[in-house]
Amino acid sequence: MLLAEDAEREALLNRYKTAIQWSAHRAHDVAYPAKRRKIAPPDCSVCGLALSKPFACLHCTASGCWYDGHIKQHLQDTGHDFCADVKTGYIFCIECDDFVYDSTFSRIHKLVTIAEEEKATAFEVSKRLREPFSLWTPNAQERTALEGAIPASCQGRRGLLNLGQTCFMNVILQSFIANPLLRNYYLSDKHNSRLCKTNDCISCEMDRLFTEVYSENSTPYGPFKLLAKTWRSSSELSGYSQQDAHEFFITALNHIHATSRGSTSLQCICIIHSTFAGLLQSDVKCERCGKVAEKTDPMLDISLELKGDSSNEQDLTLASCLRRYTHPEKLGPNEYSCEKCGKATHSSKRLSIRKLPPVLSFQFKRFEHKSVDKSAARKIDAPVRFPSSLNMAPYTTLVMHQQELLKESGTASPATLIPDKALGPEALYEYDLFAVVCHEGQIDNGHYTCYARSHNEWYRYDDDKVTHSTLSACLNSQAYMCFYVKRHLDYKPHITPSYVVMREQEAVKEKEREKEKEAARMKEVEDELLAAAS
Amino acid sequence: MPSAPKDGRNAALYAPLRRRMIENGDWDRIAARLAHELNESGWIDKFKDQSKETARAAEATGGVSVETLMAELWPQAQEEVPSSVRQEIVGVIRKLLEKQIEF
Repeated sequence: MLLAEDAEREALLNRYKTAIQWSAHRAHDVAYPAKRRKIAPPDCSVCGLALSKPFACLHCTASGCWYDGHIKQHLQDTGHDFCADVKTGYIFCIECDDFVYDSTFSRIHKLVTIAEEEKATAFEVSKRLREPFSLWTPNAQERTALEGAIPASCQGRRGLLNLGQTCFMNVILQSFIANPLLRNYYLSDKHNSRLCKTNDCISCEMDRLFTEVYSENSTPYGPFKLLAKTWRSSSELSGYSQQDAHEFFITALNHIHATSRGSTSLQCICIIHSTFAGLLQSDVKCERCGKVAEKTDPMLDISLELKGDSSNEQDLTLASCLRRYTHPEKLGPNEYSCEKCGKATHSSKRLSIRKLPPVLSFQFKRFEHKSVDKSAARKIDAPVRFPSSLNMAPYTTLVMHQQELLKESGTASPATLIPDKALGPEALYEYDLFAVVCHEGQIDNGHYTCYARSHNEWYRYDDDKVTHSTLSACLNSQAYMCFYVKRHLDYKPHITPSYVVMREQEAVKEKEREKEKEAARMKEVEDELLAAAS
Repeated sequence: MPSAPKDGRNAALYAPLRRRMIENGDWDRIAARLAHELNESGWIDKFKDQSKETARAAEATGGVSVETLMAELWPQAQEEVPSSVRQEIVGVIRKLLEKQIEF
């Protein structure tokens, strides 16, 4: 769909850009009211009311109300064709009498919105401005490489064969396949299984899995080798009995971490830790002297309790579980002794998330083990409601501390704490659901299935059977695990990625080696000549 | 669909109050709070899915315009706003207005 031709299109694009920029700039100004400056909203050109949701004409400077039909009236009266909702960027065409989509305009909306956000937010520690986002354009070398490349489908969906009660593994593998960071890592050849020399390398199996899923072949795939390697590496998961999907998840993460590049025991930057690792903070407050001892622990996922003391098991939501998770917990006098007071005192412990990972994984603890013997456990079937988009701000250390300060100083907490100069923009905290692992039946004879999102469509995966589904079906299922991915990834400022640095260093070393080889060869030839001459 | 009151003593106050709320950023903040509450209650996801699937089903018969879709779903959407959320937001607005006008 093309909105108008050339010259007219330019004018429309410019007006659109101005309108979007105004709206995005205003959103930040209003959110960070440091200068208490009032920003006048536009008035409706028909009724004169201040516009809370302005629609801007793309041909002239008029704006109008949508709901009272005023902007449409303007278009009809003037013969102008297009107007846009300045906040969402959606474009309305009077001739089609409907909203229309144009990819260039949509892209402009994203770029302008990001640019305004970059201008309004700065790094806290270095106080530097953010590096401006710019679209990637291939250089000559890259363009040549692209021209020679064979395009592959961007639709990666394939069922997985059940190899004997292995649905617990299949659902986790589907969640990995649907994981944008893992997908990008393996599809961009970061772990090439054909060159890797590690024995029993699980990362290689992941590489093969992605290759298979994104191949032309759409018949169900059997991850035999992956299963075999998992058995060899973790004997407790071997055998054909039903296993716990979450246990397999954690085991798989550890195996992939151990066989991936960049793997270290502290501050690991392997693909697994870069994707899943966050930091959990526990604050223990001594009730007597008020001293708070802070401790941080790395975490790969968050396990949430479902059974509670006061709360019934109805009306459970992800938000209520997270509130409970971050709620202060009273510790008995013998559980903690304060450093400052020196005595065993009453204290309270509070968990919060200090660092949010790019992919956030939740497990709802449905399986209640009464003893070590797994067979004597019960399953909590209560449904838990979870959203398709999640804002994690209220559960982070930074925001929770701010709330505490406000409470102590007696200031009323504003309607929303973010965005804020110190706490950052909304973008830091927003997540989108991309996979859900479900369990039906009892502990010992149940079945795992999962829902996963491909672009904006939801699919249900039942081992080898893949069916097109809906968001509603996914949200109404009985979730055991939920996977969310950050909507906007955060980056450190102006840093060359370590793998690029390493690659450049490797290239230099390779050149040195070639030089040495060449020199050695020349010497050999010289020696032979000398020998022949003498 | 929402629209300004056309008559009564509220009509004269509506326009300037509305303008002030928008200028101060109060309007946006309350709207953000409402969006947050509606998301937590599952309302947003329900209507996101319903509008998408209704539009998808209508593809077979030539499609449906955004306005038609809105008109079709609006009454149900209004009704299904949880009463607790409605009360809370009305309460926030009331508190804000009480500080600004004499009743």
